[in-house]
Amino acid sequence: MNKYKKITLDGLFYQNPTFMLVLGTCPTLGLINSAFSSMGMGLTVLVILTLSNIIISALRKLIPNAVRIPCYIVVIATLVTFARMFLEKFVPSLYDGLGGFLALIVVNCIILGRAEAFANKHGVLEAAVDGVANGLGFTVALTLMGIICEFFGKGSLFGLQIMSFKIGMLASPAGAFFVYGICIAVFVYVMDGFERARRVKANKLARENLLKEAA
Amino acid sequence: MATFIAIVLSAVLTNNFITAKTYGVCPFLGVSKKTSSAAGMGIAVTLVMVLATLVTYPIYTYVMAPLHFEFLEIIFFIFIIASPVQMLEKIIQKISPSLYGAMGIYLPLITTNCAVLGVTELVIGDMSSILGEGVAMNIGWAALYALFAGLGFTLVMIIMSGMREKLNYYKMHKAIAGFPIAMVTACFICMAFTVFSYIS
Amino acid sequence: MTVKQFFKSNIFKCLAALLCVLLVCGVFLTIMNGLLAVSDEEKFQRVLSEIYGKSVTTKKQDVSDKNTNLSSAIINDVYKVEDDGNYIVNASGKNGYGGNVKCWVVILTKPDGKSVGGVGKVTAPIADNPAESFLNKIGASVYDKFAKDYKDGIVYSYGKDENDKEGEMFVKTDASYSMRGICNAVNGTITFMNAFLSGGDIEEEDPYEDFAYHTLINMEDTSWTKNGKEITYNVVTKGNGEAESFKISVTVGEDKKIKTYAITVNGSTFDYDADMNPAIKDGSLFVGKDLEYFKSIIGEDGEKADDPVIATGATKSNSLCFAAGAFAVANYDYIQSLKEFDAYIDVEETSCTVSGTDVIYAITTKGNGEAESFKISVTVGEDKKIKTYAITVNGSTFDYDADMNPAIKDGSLFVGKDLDYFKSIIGADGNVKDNAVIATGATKSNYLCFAAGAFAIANYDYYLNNAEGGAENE
Repeated sequence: MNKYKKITLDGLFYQNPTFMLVLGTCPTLGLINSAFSSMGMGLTVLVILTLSNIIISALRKLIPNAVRIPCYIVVIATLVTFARMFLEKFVPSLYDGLGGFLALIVVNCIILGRAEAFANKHGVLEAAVDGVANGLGFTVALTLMGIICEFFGKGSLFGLQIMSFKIGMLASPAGAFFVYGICIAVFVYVMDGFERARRVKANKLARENLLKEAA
Repeated sequence: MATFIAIVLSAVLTNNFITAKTYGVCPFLGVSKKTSSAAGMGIAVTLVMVLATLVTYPIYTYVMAPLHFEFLEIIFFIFIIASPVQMLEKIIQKISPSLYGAMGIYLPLITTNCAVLGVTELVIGDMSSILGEGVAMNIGWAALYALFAGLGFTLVMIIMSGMREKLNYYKMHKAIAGFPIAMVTACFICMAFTVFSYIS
Repeated sequence: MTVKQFFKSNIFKCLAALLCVLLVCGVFLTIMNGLLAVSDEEKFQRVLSEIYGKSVTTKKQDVSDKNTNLSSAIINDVYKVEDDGNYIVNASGKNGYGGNVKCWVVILTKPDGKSVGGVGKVTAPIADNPAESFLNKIGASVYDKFAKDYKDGIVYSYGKDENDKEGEMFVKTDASYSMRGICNAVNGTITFMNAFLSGGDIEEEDPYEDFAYHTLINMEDTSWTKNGKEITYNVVTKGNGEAESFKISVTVGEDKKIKTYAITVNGSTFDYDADMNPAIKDGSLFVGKDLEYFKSIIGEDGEKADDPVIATGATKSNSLCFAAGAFAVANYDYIQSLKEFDAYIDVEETSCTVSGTDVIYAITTKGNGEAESFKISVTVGEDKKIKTYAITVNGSTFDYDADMNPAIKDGSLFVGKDLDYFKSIIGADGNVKDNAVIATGATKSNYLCFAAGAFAIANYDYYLNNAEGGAENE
């Protein structure tokens, strides 16, 4: 159980693909001016990442090492094409909102990165958990920034107009860079605090254990 | 002539891949610490963009579209892009080992650079607003667009690396240093480029 | 390496794995594409439900035999909505910011269904109009105004502010030019639907209706040059049955009779060439003939073809030759009165006086994109060169004024220049607009100034004869 907890926490916090590893930046920056699009992108990546992790993990013994990267790319490209067809058919509003970035999921470093770093070394179940955790980390981060940018940049939330006050710059790529940068800084700062607290706690525990043994 | 100017202005300034479309941001943030490697990376990406467009555009227009294979475009394109990148990697390794070292892991990652796949997807789409009325898209315009989009990418890479070289002299809080300050710097470059959107 | 070794080697494994993955993926995607592909019909239904808010059944109306290219808009498609009897029209309004603006217009009918009774929803989808960059600034309330303001005979118009209102509707949008396109689309749709519903058709505007005997003439390719009192035509005819296009060079003299007549390209097909009237073939039949002669052979309407001169076995070819001659003779007066380089000149508002051998113009230009009408006073001397040139009203808008070529602004560039100079800058037909002298950032303003100068010189002869001693022209 502990193993899965660690994978989940890594994906969501300690190795969060958006804030800690800064991967998949293009769709992030391109779409966070709209909360709906960024959440849609997050969920699409979540599904594709989980599926690709499962497939690649299942095939890891069959695919020779020399051609693994092309194989991964084919698998991912297939999933992306499938996602594109699916969205065009059933969620056309999201299909329009994602625009060119939908096809570009295929070159999203998170997916190839997880395939190469995790899925081809672990079992199917672990790979699936890793995919969901990383996908969720990506989705939450994107949605959060999407809300910030859309609220201040357009005065609306998920397309619903809330206020007339707006800072247009925050809805442009410049604002996306700005919000992303600030969010990373805050996230790193907070995670740093947690890390320190955890270390202090661990040290204290170790000291008590030592004292107990000594006694 | 008017179309040529429109393409150059659009690709380099008004619709710059990084500042307006946010394509190709990974190498933009990753390889922009030194001007020399940033310029090298920019030129490599430009080369790959032009090569990839020259191959994908005719294949899409003359083979895939008539046969109704459009839905396989992503798989085809990513495969087609992967081969010139492999070639370029071997060539750079042979000619300039120092550049090869400086680019590090980012060279194979050109394959997974959205700027390259992005430009190949863009030129097969609707370009009429850039070309102007009555001008038909052809492989020449496509390659030209790819070339100048790549040069625009290189331009922003170089500007960014210059600013980051200066930033190295300052000591910052751990949370701000690295990516966050780079992003805020990029924000200012984007704002400066926004002004170009008044060209019409 | 033997075959057996190859099948056991790593290379084979790699190839097989890669090919298998590709094959499986390809098959999977092909199946999925078959299941999920979105047809064009479905895409159209989506557009409809977006406009209507619910899904409706429509029936495409056949408009192929109607004139759908109006002066304000092009009508692309007309659908009847079965649910409520309204119509949905897809129209491209002309003259937007970056070309035509593609709009969807819902048209309500009067109870009898014979004419337009109102306008419903109007939209210009941003996705369909990539060139209209400010389209998103036009809000829903603006589109709603079309429905609210409708009354019979309305012509919608837009405006920049209250003072600049150009018609019956005023809304301030931050996208005036796109708004102009949308208004044109709605106006065109109303005009078209009124004609469509009543079962009629819009009279096709004939840009050449001022020319006589032009039904068999290809007006676009036909050209002429005025040479004092003589006119030399290069007539290009249309095809006529089996006969293809003829090219004929005709000169008409001051007496309005044909001076020379020569067929340069004979469009006869098969062996009809041999059956043509020889006097027509070498043109000798026509020399010295006037309009009365042509009327007697081909009739007042130019459609008679049974005269023995024509009916020699190659009737169609002979008819074309007669049509060319009749066209040349009949239009002599009209062409003499035509002004040159007048595409950007508001001739009605332009006046001119003659003083000695000088012609003094007060030219009013038309608007050109962002540049509005200029008023320019020009004097042309006997040598057909410009003597004075002064802009009295500068029509530049925004800050384009500052970007104008200074030598154009104070007129010094033009003084002493002749028509050849103007032709070298704006081209022989006045359509070149990217010369460095003009393209200084205020291209449209500069171009208008050139157009005015070219107009003044090119029409010197005409005005000298027709605006005697200070009389106002026309």
